Amino acid sequence: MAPPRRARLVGPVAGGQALQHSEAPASPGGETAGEGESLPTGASPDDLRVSVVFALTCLAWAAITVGAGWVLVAVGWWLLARLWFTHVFVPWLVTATARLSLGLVAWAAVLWLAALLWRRYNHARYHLRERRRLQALPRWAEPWLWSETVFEDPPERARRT
Amino acid sequence: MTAFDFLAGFVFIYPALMAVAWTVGGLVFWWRTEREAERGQGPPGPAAGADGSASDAWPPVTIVVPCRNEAAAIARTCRNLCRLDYPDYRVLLVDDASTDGTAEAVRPFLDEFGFFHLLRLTRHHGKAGALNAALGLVTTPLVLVLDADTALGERSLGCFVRPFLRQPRLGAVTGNPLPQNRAGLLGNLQAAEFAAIIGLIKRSQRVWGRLLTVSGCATMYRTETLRRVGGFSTRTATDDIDITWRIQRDASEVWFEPRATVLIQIPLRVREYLRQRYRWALGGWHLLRTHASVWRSWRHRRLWPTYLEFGVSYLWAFCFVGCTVAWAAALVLGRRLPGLSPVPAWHGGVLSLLCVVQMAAAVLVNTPYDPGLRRSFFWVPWYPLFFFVMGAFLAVWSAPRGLLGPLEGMGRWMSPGRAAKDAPGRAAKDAQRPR
Repeated sequence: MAPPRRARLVGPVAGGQALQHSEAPASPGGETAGEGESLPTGASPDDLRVSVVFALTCLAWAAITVGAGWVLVAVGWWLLARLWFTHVFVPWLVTATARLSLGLVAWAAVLWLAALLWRRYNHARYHLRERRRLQALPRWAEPWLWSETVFEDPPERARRT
Repeated sequence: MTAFDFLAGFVFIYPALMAVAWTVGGLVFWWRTEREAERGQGPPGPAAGADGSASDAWPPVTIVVPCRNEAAAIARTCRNLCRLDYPDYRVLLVDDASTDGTAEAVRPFLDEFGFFHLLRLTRHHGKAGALNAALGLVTTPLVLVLDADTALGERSLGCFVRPFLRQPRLGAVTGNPLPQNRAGLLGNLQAAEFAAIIGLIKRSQRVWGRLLTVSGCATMYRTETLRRVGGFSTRTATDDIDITWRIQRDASEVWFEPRATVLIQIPLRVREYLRQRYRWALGGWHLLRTHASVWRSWRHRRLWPTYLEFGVSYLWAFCFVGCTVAWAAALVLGRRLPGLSPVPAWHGGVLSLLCVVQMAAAVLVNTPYDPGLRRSFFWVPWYPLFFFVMGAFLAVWSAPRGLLGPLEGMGRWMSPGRAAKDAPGRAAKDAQRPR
């Protein structure tokens, strides 16, 4: 967080207090020794520069963090692609890869068909011949007239306030 | 063929077959259910109002939000719950003996909105215990359980309710969680995972029969069913998996509603991510342990494939870790084991190709609800590293505790750290767009 912006009162104070912006660097306490009292007003160029540097530093770190994340993502995809093109999609393993792919596609087709048939079976067996009736849920519940209650144990009992 | 070859073959073929099964099932659900609903060919719902959403036909709903030390995030959740497009709902916040002033953060909403209520527990019960305490107060026919860091889409509540008005066997409807804080590698990978695993697998499981689990962050239950099955179990690390199985064992259906979008916070630190995934792995063991009795009853036959598939996936994790350890040991000893190596070659290349296809299918079906998902797809090359490798090692690591450890007190766990930031993320903006 940027330090509070202050302007220093320069010279003796008489009658109406004239505020002047001093070019002198501020002490850590925000005042210049021997130059009187300080009052909060606008920003000095130094303070403004500090704020800008601070904001740019934050921006740079945010960009670095996001960039590092995307580098990590890119490395992951590169490693994955390298794995696929050196071990899976290679001529000497094409038979094994093709055989496995066909097997998995067949497995997927069997599952797809089974899922559709299973749905139809359940629909006919349970939904059309549902013995349980759909009972309407109550549309009203007893309101609670309390806002806070305590559950004490043992013994387990509720004391309402 | 040696035993190692057999194991190596299983390690390769099982994920390949399942990737195809999930992809096909997910696409069938999308084609036969979602597209028909979009075209208006689905079963009719209640009479809609002029804006197509709210009407007098909707039943009242209680939204239960269990919170434990959620002072940083609960106000944001409350603000979200103030402005839902639904005619009759009430919010019950359950403060599970928080020590960080969660109740104080909630009280301004109690004063301002008459439909906000607070239940304070004097002792830490864990999520399941807190929900059971709240269940005793609920008087509405439907109850939505919502995590304290989860935001509902403006019209999502109606999407949760609609299936209950059409299906008599329905016990629960689970929503479509969209990660809100998807920054960096871990955030984007989880966004892709929620689409590919949560979204696609849930769609697929709905086609084949039964769901493995609802999303614990946002699920609506029929109150009567919840009471009948005895509420939530405090003896498991994942109460959502357990309640899903108990509802389905009660001959009730669990439905996945992709239009019921909810925005969730995901862990962005590796340590929190690992802790969460360890708990999920532990919950898987608890499922295998506590619901093995489904095999003893013909009534539960439709749960058998889900149980079997989940059990085989854990067996696969052991085989994968075993093969990797054997390969590494052989390498150290200067020998070479025939069969599969964890260094990707032809097998790894084929699996990565299938993974990309599965992700592409997931992006296709979930993009209408989460347009920002396309950007997360670019991070997919690193996904197998996290999902396959880390998931397998965590399943093995959690096995002794999951199989042999005590179940008592398992329902008490720490949520990942919350972001107090109130600005909506990219997913929030995308999800709020009218569809």
